[in-house]
Amino acid sequence: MNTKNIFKPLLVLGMVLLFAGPSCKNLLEEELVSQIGNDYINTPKGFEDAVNAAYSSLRIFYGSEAGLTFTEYGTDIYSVGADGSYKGFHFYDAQLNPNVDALATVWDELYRGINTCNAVIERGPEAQGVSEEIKAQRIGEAKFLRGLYYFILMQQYGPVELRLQETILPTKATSKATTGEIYNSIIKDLDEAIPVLENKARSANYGRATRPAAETLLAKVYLTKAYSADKASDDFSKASALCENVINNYGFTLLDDFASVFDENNQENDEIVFAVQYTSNPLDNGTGNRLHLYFGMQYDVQAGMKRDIANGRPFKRLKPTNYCLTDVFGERVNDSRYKKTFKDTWLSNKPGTYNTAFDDSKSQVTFAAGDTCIFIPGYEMSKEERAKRPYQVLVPSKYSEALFPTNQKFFDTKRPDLTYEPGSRDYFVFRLAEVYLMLAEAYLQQPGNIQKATDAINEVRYRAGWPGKKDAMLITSAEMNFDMLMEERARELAGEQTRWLDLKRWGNLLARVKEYNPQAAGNIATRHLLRPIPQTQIDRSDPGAFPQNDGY
Amino acid sequence: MAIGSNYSQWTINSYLGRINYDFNNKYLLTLTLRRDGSSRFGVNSKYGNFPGVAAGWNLSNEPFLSNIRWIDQLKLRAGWGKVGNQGVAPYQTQGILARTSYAFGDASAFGYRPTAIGNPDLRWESSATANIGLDFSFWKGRLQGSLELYETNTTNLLLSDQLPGSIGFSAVTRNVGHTRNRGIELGFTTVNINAASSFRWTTDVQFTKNKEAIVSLYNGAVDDIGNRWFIGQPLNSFYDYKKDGIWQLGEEEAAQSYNSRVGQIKVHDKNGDGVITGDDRVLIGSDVPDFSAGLTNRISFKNIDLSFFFFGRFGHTIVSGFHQDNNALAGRYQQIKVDYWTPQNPTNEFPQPKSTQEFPVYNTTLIYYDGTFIKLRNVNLGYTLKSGWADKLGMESLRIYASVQQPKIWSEYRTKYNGVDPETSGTEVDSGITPATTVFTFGINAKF
Repeated sequence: MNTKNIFKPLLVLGMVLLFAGPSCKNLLEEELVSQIGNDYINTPKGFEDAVNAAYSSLRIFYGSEAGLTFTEYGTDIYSVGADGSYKGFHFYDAQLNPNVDALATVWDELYRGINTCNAVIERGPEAQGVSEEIKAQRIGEAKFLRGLYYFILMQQYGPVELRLQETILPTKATSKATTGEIYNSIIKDLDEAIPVLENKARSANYGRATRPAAETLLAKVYLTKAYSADKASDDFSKASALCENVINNYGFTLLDDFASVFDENNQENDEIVFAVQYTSNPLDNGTGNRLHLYFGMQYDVQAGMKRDIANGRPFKRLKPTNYCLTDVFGERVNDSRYKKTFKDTWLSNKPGTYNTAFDDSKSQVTFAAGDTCIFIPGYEMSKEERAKRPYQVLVPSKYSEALFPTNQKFFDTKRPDLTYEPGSRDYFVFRLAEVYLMLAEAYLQQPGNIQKATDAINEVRYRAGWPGKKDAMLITSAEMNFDMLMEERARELAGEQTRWLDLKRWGNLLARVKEYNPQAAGNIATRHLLRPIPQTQIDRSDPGAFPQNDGY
Repeated sequence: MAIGSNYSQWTINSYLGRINYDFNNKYLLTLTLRRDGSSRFGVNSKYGNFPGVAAGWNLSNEPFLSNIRWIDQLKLRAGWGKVGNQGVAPYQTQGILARTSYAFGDASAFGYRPTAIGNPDLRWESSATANIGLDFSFWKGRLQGSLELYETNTTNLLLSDQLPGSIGFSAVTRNVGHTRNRGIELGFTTVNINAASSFRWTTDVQFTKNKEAIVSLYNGAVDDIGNRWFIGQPLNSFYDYKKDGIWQLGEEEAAQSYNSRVGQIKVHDKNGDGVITGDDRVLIGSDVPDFSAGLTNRISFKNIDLSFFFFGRFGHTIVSGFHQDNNALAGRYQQIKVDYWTPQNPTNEFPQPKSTQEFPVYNTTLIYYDGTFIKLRNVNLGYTLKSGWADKLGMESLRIYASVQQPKIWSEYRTKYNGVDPETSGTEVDSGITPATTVFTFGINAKF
C-alpha cells in the first residue's frame, strides 16, 4: 500500500464562520436592555430608587404573618387559636425548628434589605446629581433602616452576621458577630442618622423615617440593651432622654379616644411616630397589611351570621389567654380599652331562625337583618339573664379556640371583597402612647424617678378612660410598679407585634409563659429566648462557619 | 403602571473543522475541532475549544474473520470527544437589580435593589466522553445488537450555587465542579423461533446502567450540604431526616427525651447525641436508577400477531409530594389514605393524627419511597384477514386488532402507599403530574 492510496479517500471538510461586523470582541458583549444593571444605583434616579427599595423590606416583618407570629404567639396574652400555621411558635414544641419556612423568609428578606442599605450608604456619597442635603438625608434613612433591621434580627435570632458593606462577590464565609458589636453598630447608625433626618413629626413623603422615628428606635434599643448582658449604666437614662425629646419637641399628641387611633379613616394621625406604609393600590401594596386576617373568631358559622367584609376573616389564629381577658383587661368600668380592643357584638347578616350552639339558655333564635345575634358580655352571665336576650350570649366558660373576644384593632373594611387578603392599613411601628410607656419604663428603672414614671404612664391611662371616668384612671406613685407597667403595655398594645419582645427584654418570657399560658408552659425552655437559625443559612455557609443556636 | 419586558439577546461565534477518513471500509476515523465563543460568559473566558476523535474498525471485513460464517457483522468503535454547554441564562456575568414596591402615603414608591450577583468568571461547561462500542450480528441475524460502554467527565459544570441568606443574595450561577457518568448500554434482538409453519417469536432486550458521581466541587472533594452535593453521589441526591419508625406505647420516656411523644415520628438520631438537630440528616438516595431494562416479545402465527412490552427502573428514590401536601394528618384538610398510628394500630408507617398540628413534625421523612417499578407498557393482538377474504369485501387488506396500554404496574409505592405513577420525569410525584392511565383500543385497519 503506498501513501497515495492511503490519502485518496481522505475527505476534508473545513468550515470557518466569520461574522462581518465591527469586531469579534464586540460581538460577544452583553448589554442589558429589559433588565436594570447594578450601576443604575449610581445615577440620581437609581439612588432614590435604591432608598425606596430599602424601605420595602419593612413589610416582611411589620403587618405580616411572620412578623405577628414572631411577636405575639406564645406569650402571656395570646395562645393558640384553632386554625393556621406556625403553631410551634405558640407551643414551643418540635414544630418550632430550623426548617420552618418563615424563619428563612424573614431572615433572607431583612438581609436583602440590609444589603440594599449598605449599597445606599456606601455609594451614596458618590451619587451624582443629588443635592448634598437630600443625599445626607437619604443616607440617614438607610442607616435608620439598617439599624432597625439588625435590631429585629438580633432580638429574634441572637448574635447574627453583621455585614456593613455591600456584597459584591458571592461568598459563603459567614460568621456571627457578638451582640455587643451589633448593638454598637445599631447605635452608631442611629446616632449618625438622627442629625440628618427630617426634623419634624412627619415627612412630606409620609412614611419616610424622620428624626423622632430614629430617636424612638434608639430609645427602644437602649431600653432593650439596658436589660441585656451588654448593658451600660446610662442606658435607661439615654432612653428616657430620647423619649422626652420625642414627646416634647415635635407636636405629637395622644388622641382623645383610644378607638380613634385605630380608625381606618384616620391613619395618619397625631399619635403616629413611624408607620410602615400600605395602600389600596394593588400595584404598590405587595402582600398588604395582613394583620386583619388572624385575630377573628369563627362567627361565620354561627346562627344568623355569614362571613362578610365588615366582620372580617374568621381565621382564629390567636386567642387571648385567660390572663389577658380577666387580669390585664379586668378593669372595664373606667378603662375603655377592653371594649375598644375587643369586638363583642355581631349583627345578623343572614336573617332567619336557627338552633343555638353555645348558649344553652334557649334552643332557637330568630333574627332580622341587623339584629344582634352574638354578644360577648365578658363575664359569666347567668342562664336566667341570658334567657331574656333574644340572641346567643357567649360567656367565658364557652370560650374555645374558635370562639373568643376578637381583637378589632386591625380590621380592614376597605378590602374590595371578603376573600381579599392584602390589607391597606398602615402598620404603626411606633406611636406616641408607646413612647410614653417606654419613658415610664425607663424612669421606673432609674432610682428616684418614680413620680416621672407615674406621670408618663398616667398620660396613657388618662386617655384610655371612658369620658367622665378619666380621672379615675390616674394612679399614684405608690401604685406605680413593674407589674403595673407590664400590664399597662399589654392593655395598650395588645396585638401590636410587641409582646414577645417585651417579655424577652424583661427577662421573664419563660416565667410568664409558664404562669399564664398553660398550652406552652410545659414546653418553653431557655433555648426559646432565641429563634432557630434558618437551616439554609447554616447549610449554605462554609462548613461549621455558622453554628445553630443552642438547643435547636 | 408597570410594563414588563423579557427582551434578551445572546450571541455565539463558532469555528468548526472536521476531517473524515475511511480506508477500504475497514478503518474509519473522524477528527473534529470546534471553537465556540458565547456572550453569556465572562470577558476572559468567552471561548472554549472542543476537539473530538472517533475511530471505527470493521472487524468483519478483515480477511481473518470473513471466513467465519456465523459472523455477519462485527464492528468495533471507539471515540473521545468534548462538547461545550453554555446552559445558563444570558447576563449572569453581571449584577442585576430587581424592582420593589413600597409607598409613601398614597404615592407609589417603586424601587430597585440588587437581586442577582454577577459572576464575571463564568466559563464553558465541557463534557468529555470516551466510549467504546461493539455492533454485532450473528447467525444470519438471529442475534444482533450493540454494546456500548462510556465514561463522561463533565468539568466546570454550570449550576446555580445556593448562597447563605445573610450576604443578601440567594444564589449565583457558577462553574461548580466535576461530575462523572459511567455507563453501559446493551441492546439486542434475538429470533427465538422462526418455523416453517410461519410461527415466529422474536425478543428485544434493552439494558442501561449509569452511575453518576460528583468527583469534585469548586473547593475540592468536599461535600456541600447547602446544595445537597455530595462527593461520590449523583447531583440530585436527597439529604434529610430519616424515619426510624413511630414512637410506640412503652417508649414514652424516650419519646419525651426527643421532645416528641408516642404516636409521632421517631427520627433517626444519626450521631446518637440524644437530640435531633440538622446534623442528624442522612443521605436518603437519589433519583438515578441502579439500572433500567426493557423487554419486548413479538409472536406471530399465520394471520395472528401478538406483542407485549415490559419496562422497568430499579433502585432509585422518588419524592412523593402527595405524602407531604395531602398528608397533614390534622383533620382540617383532605387527606391521602395512609396507615396511621393509633394505640390499636401500632404501625411504624405514619404518625397519629393530631388536630393541633399544621403537619406532622419531621413530615419530610414521609415522602421518600423506593421508585422501583415494572410496567407492562403495552399488549397488542391483531388478526389480518387472508387476502382472498379481503378481496371479496372489496378491500386490499383488512386487519382487526386490540391493544391495551399500560395494563399493569408493579410498584410498592402504588400498592402499599396509594401513590400514583412512580415514573416521573420531574423530581416530585405530586398533583402536578398526570396519573397513570390504562388505555384499551379496538380497531380495524382497512385499505381499499
